Amino acid sequence: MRHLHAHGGGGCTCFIIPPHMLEKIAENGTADQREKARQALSIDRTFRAQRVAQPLQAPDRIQGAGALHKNRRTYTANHGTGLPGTLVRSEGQGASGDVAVDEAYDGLGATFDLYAQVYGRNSIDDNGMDLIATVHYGNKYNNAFWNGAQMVFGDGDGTIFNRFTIAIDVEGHELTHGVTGATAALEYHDQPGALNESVSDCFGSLVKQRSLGQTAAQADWLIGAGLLAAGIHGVALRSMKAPGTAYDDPLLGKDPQPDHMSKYVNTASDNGGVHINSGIPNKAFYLTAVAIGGNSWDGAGKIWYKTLLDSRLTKTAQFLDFANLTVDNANSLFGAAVRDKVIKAWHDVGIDVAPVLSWQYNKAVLSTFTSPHQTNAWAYIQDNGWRKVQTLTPDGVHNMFTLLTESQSSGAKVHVYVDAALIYQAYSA
Amino acid sequence: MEIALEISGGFAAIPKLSMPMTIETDKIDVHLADELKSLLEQTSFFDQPESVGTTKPGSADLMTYIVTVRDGGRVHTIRITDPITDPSLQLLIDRIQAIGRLKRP
Ligand SMILES: [Zn+2]
Repeated sequence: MRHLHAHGGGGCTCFIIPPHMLEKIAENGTADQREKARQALSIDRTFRAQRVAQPLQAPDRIQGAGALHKNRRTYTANHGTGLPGTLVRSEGQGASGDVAVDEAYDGLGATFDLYAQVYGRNSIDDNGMDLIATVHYGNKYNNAFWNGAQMVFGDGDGTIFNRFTIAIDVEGHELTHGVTGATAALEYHDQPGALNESVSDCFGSLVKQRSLGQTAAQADWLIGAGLLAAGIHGVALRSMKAPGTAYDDPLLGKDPQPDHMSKYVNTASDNGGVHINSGIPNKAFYLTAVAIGGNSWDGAGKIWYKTLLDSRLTKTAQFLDFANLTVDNANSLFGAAVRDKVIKAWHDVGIDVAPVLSWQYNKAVLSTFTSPHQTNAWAYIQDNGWRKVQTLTPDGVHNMFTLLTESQSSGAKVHVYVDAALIYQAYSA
Repeated sequence: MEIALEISGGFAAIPKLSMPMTIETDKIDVHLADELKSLLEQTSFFDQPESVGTTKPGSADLMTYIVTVRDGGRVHTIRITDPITDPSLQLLIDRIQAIGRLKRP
């Protein structure tokens, strides 16, 4: 086994370098080594300053122009399938008395308001696009959909489903398909399709939570609550909090959603199970929102929204790609503490997000150990195996840094592992 | 004659409701069987293309109906995706679902 040493030559086999050796490094280390250590500390200070200067706030308008344009037009298909049908209620008009028309109108309004007021988005296309919905579509039609230009809602058969406007998150879900189509345009199959579906569930749930004034902890995280007809054994169509538990009924079977990547469902149906495997990113969103606390639309919602607009998000993104971007966007929006909650959320659903390769990240991790603590931590240096990190003093942190610097400069990969929760790759070769 | 329907997708996308259902026309009420046969004629089912309906980019939660009819030596399968613009095809799908559901457990 090859040992790495803070300073060449010595017989050190311990992980934390004794102070007397550190002094030698300070005196005798190469200019490059000293500069790296200095930069690390400098970047860390800058990073902390940025976090202080960056409170939770709405992101600036990223695209689009002009005043917000909220223009709802709600139609009825009169139980036919012609679209958009007959106009019943336009923007600003009072209630029509047709419950499906009015639910659609209100649901689209709440969705528009979430996007406009929290994310600064001017409708579906961020350019004031009209919000068109058609209700009473088809004959006892058991579905709601986004046809690429408008929302469509069926009445349900009354036996299995009630009307699809009954749950405000369904309106939010369908309108969000329009937003996704105008932004990331995630392809509607397999993992990118499940992400597309999940994004619709996430923002659909946020519409509901915001309209009810509920925090992440208070929300039920159900999609389609009230949609299942009386007598059906189930609370909703999907549960973001506990995927796979929304219904269990002789007629419907059991909710098939997985809550972990190890249970990913491979199927040809439903474009590769886009409404099934969405349970995995749905739960990651829920875990993130609850870990951040407060109103989900301010924390997790902003991270996911920024990710949806992120130019690095491709149409064929896999769960891991999307997750990595949420981690990066959490960091830029809210800093390391929130970013770590996002990392943990994805790890908890079996998505091994890539660690952030940055000095400040490493220093933030190590800062955990600057005061007396009970946390167990291990460090791994390439070829050198796992070693338990002792309770550290501020000096000890500095020692560890120096060792990691030394290891990196010799081309080693270094990981820090904290209480079985996260693996931080501090440096890579 | 045997008529099979399988559904893929939809906002709810409940697998058990999407599973293939098969109707054997000689094992159901004769009036219902005649109704289905008449609808198949009206839609010129065996002349329908394999894929019916064009979807706009970005569309989502659309249901696709996969209908297979076996009649003597003839077998034909078509995939129809919402929104269905041909009223007779829509009626055919509605009636297959309604009649098929009658015999569901
Ligand atoms: Zn959807």
